[in-house]
Amino acid sequence: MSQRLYTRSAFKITRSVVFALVLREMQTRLGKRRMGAFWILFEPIAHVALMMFIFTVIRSRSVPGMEFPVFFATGVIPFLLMRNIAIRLMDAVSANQALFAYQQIKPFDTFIARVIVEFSLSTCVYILVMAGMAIWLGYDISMHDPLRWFVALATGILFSFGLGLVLCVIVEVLPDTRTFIRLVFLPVYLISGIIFPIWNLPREYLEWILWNPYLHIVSNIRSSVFEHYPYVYGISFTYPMEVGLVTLFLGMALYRLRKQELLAR
Amino acid sequence: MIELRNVSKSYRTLHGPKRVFRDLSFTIPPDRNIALIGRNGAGKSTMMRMLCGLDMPDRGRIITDKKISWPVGLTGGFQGSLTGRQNAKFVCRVLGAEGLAMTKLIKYVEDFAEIGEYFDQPVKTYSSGMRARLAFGLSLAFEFDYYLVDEAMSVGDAHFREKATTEFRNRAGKANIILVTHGMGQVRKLCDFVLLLEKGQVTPFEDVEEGIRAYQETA
Repeated sequence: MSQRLYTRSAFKITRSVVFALVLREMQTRLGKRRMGAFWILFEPIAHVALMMFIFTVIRSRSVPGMEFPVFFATGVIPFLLMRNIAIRLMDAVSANQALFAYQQIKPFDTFIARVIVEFSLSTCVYILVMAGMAIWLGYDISMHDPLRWFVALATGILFSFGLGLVLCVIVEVLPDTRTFIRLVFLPVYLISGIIFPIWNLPREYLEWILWNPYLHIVSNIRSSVFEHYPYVYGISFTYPMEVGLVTLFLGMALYRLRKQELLAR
Repeated sequence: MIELRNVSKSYRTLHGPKRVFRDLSFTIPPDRNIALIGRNGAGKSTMMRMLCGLDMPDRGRIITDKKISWPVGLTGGFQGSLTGRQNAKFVCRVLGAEGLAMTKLIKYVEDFAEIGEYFDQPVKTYSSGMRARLAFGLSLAFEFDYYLVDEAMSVGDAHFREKATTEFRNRAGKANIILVTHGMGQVRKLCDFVLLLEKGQVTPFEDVEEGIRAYQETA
């Protein structure tokens, strides 16, 4: 027979809603195609593998003191995670609009759920790529300073979360900007120093792209992996934290202001 | 009891703001099955959205101590690539039913929907009637004080409508419905109180027939 509705604390509601959303998101992605679990991991791995092939074998890039494939993978996988968080948060509300009819589900829950999903997938990809490189290609994949690496990555996730919140409110007000924002992430990919070592850049160009927090974050992540990562002019550990906190605050404030409009479009 | 106090609501449209309600106050009496009727554009959907918490009034308050359901028969929340069972489990989790409680609820939904093996097929393969059955079962699986029914009774075949009507009748005394509809047959069958929406105003009718007559005069 029918079930009485539970009276629960706000925290418990959020917890079960986020859990339900994470499962749903995973099931949806897994169930989209045959062998969904394979494709979910294969797609990003193929992306990374292809780029590594292009830059190591065809263009034969090298970075002194580091294996280029490891150099590339340690930058691109965290960057793709951060980019995906920002973009998937931007779309979180419009993709889940119909769910807000269930009063327990709030837009913020969908943000948290999407971050968890992206983070879990990205972690699997990172482990698989690194293990593959260590086992078959014999590269040294050890991490020089794991704690510092984790803090650098957490800073990036924090910043991307805030950015995603801001973008989500922007596309709610101006839906036409969605495509434009997606396009902007392409040049950001280039100026975040994913494919080339930034210490080779002339200082006059470097100064221009130093405002980009992702450049700092990626560089900090890499300097935590490699022991002999060179000192790069202008790269700071605290700058992305500051930008991240400001963005997060701005995102939360905008969310608070526009919560009602996000709920009911 | 559900009380609306000085509720104003307007929407932005291409031609400037459109006011739906201005300083609307009325009380929905307790333990009555309510029919919310009115012509297209009279504000029925807006009223319904505000009652189930999907939308907030610009000014004024809606005061209630009752649990009001999401629109019964809501199919928009289903994820097409997931099966009926997976979608049902999702709603159970959101509402906090886990373990044995969830198993019981899923069983109830499966029995109510009567869609056989389709329950384990992706929802996108369902006909609209099957979706409505699933959604209906899912709403009825939980105990609300008020069930908001928005045209949902008009989908499905005669057998299903009969079943839904019986289900609501069985809950008389425990739960009530707020029916938003154009079908006067359903109003006569299920409701004992009429709220007529017209030009942003609400007129209550104790007598169902009288309300229906007033509605037909506006149309």
